[in-house]
Amino acid sequence: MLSISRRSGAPFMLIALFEVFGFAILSIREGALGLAEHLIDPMGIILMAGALFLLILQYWLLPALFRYIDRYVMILYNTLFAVGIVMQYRLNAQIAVKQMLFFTIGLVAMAVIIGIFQSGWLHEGRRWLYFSAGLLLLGVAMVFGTVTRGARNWIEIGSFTLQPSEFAKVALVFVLACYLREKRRFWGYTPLFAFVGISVILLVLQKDLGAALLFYMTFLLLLYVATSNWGYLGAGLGALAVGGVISYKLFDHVRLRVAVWQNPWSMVDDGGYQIVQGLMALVSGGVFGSGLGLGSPKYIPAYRTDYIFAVISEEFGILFGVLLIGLYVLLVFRGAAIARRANNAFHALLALGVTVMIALQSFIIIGGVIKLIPLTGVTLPLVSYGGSSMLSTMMLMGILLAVSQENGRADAETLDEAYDEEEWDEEDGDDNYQEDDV
Amino acid sequence: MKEVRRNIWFIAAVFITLFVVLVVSLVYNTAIYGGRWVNSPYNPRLREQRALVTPGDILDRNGVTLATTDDQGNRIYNGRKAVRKAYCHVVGDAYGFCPTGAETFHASTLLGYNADILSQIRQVLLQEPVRGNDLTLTIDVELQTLAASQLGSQKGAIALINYKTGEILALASTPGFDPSAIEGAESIADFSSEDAVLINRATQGRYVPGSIFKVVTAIAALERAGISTTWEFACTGSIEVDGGVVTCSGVHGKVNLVEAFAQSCNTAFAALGLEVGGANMAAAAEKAGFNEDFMFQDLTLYSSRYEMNAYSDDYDLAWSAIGQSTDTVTPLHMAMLAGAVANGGIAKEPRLVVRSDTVTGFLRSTMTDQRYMSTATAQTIQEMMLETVASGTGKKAAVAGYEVAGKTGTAEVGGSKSPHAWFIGYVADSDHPLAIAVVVENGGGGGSVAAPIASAVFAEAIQSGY
Ligand SMILES: [Zn+2]
Repeated sequence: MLSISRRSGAPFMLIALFEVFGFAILSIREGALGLAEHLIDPMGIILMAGALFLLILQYWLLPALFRYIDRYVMILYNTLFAVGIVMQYRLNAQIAVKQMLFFTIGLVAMAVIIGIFQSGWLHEGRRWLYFSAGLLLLGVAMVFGTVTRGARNWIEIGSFTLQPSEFAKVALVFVLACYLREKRRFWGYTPLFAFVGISVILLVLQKDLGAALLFYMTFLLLLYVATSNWGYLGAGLGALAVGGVISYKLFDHVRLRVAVWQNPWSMVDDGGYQIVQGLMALVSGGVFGSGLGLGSPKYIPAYRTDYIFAVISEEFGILFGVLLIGLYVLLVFRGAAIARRANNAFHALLALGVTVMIALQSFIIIGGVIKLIPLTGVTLPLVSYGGSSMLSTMMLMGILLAVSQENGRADAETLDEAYDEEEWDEEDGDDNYQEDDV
Repeated sequence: MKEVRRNIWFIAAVFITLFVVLVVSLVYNTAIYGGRWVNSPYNPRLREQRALVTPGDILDRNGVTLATTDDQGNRIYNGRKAVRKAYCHVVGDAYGFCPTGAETFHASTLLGYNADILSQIRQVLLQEPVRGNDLTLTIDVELQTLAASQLGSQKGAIALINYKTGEILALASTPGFDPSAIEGAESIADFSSEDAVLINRATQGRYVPGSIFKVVTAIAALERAGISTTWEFACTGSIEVDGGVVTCSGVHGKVNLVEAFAQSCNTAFAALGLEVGGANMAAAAEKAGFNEDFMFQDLTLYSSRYEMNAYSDDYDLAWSAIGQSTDTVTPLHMAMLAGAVANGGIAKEPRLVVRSDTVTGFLRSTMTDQRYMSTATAQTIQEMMLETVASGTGKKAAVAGYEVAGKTGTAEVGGSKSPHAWFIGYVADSDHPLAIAVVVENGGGGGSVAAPIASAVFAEAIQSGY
C-alpha cells in the first residue's frame, strides 16, 4: 500500500507556494495596471491569507478529527481548488471571495458528512431518505425554478440562487449504493430504475442535459460494477444512443449543438461562437502559457464556469492543462483504491459513485472544451466558479473521505482484535454482500 | 464483493483510457491546428494586440516593403496602386477582410503575439511601445505585378513556384482590391460583390480543370493499368459511352498516348479513363493530392476534388477522365502537380514565408513533401508535356532559348459561357526550376489564352534569374 508519511507536509507546502506566488503576482499586477487603488491589491493579500489559513487548518485539524482519512484525496482537492481560486481571482476579485466562502462552507459540509457517516447514521437502510431527498431536490427546481441560460435548473432563495441538481448528485450516490449493494434479479431494481428514470426526465425537462448525462452514466457504470452484467451495460448504452438519436431528431437545440460541434468555424455567428472562442483561447498561450494575468479570457462566454479549462490553458499553457487532467486521473486512482479497500459493498459503491461522478464530469466538460465531444455545460469540479457545484463536490469528497476513514478504522480494529483471522481480501464469502432476491 | 473489486479496477481503467484520449486529442489538435486557430480572423486577441502593438513589416523576397506602419500607427502599403492590387490577396489587409492574406494568417508573427513570457510581462508592466516581427515572403513583387497585369481585366489566377524548393514566386488573383482603400468599408459585404474580390482565386478558387486533368489520367494509366506510351486509339470526333456521347475538339484519327496527350484528344482520354477504371483513377488522383485537406504551414490551400470511385458509372467516369464531370481543382495545387512532374514525382510543400525573426510558440515541423507519382511515370509525363509545347496545343507557351513543357485545358463550364482557359507547365531547365498554373475564367481556349500568359511569366522570371 503506497502511503505518504502521515506527517509529511511537503505537498501542502507546494500548494501553499503556488497560492502565494499566484496571489502575489496577481495583486502586484492589479496594482501596477491601476486596476486597484493601491500599489498592491489588498484583496489579493486577504485571499492569499484566507487560502493559506484554510490549508493549514485542514492540515492540522482534519487528521486530528478523523485519523484515517485519505491524505492523497485531501492533497488533490486542495490542489484543484488552489488552481481554481487563483484563476478566479485573476478573473474577478469579488467572485474569488465568494468562491473562497463557498469552499469554506464546503469544507464544513465535508467534515460534517464524515462525522455523521462515522456515527453510522448514514447507513444503507435509509433508502427512502436518499430516495425522497433526490426527487425532492429535482422536483423543487421544476416547480420553483428560474430560467438561466435556457435551463430551468436554478432556484432563488432571497438573494441566493441554488442549483438543486448539484445536491441531487449526492443523493444519487447514496441511492445507487444502497440499492446496488445486494445482487437482485432484474425486477428487484425497479425502484432504482424508476428513480433514475424520473431524475433523468426531470433534468431533461429542465434542459440540464449535462446533469442528465452525468446521472445516467453514473447509474449505468455502477450497475455494471455491482452486477457484472454486460447485458445491462450494453442495453443501457443502447438506450442512451437511441435517446440521443431521438432528441437529435426532436430538439432544435440538440441538432444545433451537434452541428456546431462538427464545424464551429463555419457557424461562428450561429452558435459556434463559444467553441471557437474557447479553441482560440486554448491554444493562444502555447505550450507554456501567456503568463498569469496576460491572457484575454473574457471573450469566451462562461469563461469562469464551463470554460475555465480554456482560460487556464491560455494563461498557464497547454502543458499545465495536461497536468490538470493528470490531477483528475490521480483522483480516479485514489477513489478506486478507496473503493476497493472498502469493508462492504455499500461503502465500495459510495466511494466508486463519487469517483465516477467527478471523473465523468471532468471528462464531459474538458472533452467539450477541446471539441473531442459535443459541448455539454457542466462545471469543472473544484475549479469552476459556482456555489452549488463547489458545495456538492465537497460533499462528494466528504463521502469519499468518510469511506477511507471507515476503511482505516476497520483495519485498525482487525489488527487490534485478532491476528489469526484471515485478511478480508482473501475471504471467499462476505456476509455483507449476499444474494438477496426481492 | 470480490467481483465488485475487480469491476472497480475495470471502471478505473476505462476512465484512465478516456483521460489519455483527452490528453492525446488536446496535444494533437494544438500541434496541428493551433497556429490556424490563433490566426483566425475571429480571434479578438489579435485585434486587441493590434491596438497595443505595431505590427511588423511585410517584405518581398528582395526586401521590397509590401506593408509597413507609419508613426501615426496607420498601416501603409506599397505606393503604387497597381502593385497593391496585384499582391492584395497574398498580403491581405489590416482588418482581416481577406483572411487568407499574410496580415491575418501570419498575424501572430507580425504582432509578436507569441513573444516569450518575460518580454510580455515587461511590456505589460512598463507599458513599452512594442513592435511585432517582420515577415519576409517568398514572392517577388515585380513578378507578382507582372502576373496580375497579364490577367488584366479578366478574372483568373496564376501560381508560379520553384518546384525544387516549393517557394511561391508569384500568386496572382484577379480582380483584386486595394488594401489601402479598404478602411472605409463597413463590412466584408461591401467587398464581397459578384466579383468576389476578397477571394484568393489561386488558393481558394475551385475550378473545373478540363484537359489539364489528363495529366492525372495519364499517370493512372501508366502507373496502375500497365498502359504504355504505345497505347493507341482511333479518334473519330466522338465516342458513345453508356448511351451518352463524349465529343472531341476535332477528328484526330489514329493516335498513340503521347499524341493523344499533345493534341488533347478527348475521345482517346475518355476511352483511356474507362480502361483504367474508377478505382485506379481515384487512387492515382488521391496520390497526386486530390481530396486532401492541405495543412500547409505558410498558407491555406483549398483541396482539389476527384469524386469518382469503383462504382461510378461509365458516363461520369469518361467525362471525369478529361477533367469535366464533378472534378474541381485549385490553381496552386495544379502548379504543384506540374512541379511534381518536373521534379521526378515529388511535390514540395508550397512556401510563402522566407523567415520570420522569432519563432512562434508552436512547433514548426519540417515541410511535408509528397510523392505524387513514381520517378519513371514522371519521366514519361515529362516527354508528353514537352511534346505538347513543342508540337501540340501548348505551342504558345514556348520561351525562346528554353525548353518548356505543359498541358493546356479548355474547361467547359456549361450554358452559353465561354470555357475556362488553363495552362499548367514548367521550364525544363535545372537552373530555372519554375512551374506554373494559369487559369483565365471564361477566357476561351487554353492554348490561345492561357499558354501565352505562361510564356510571358516564365520569360520574365528567367530574366530575373529564378
Ligand atoms: Zn480526338
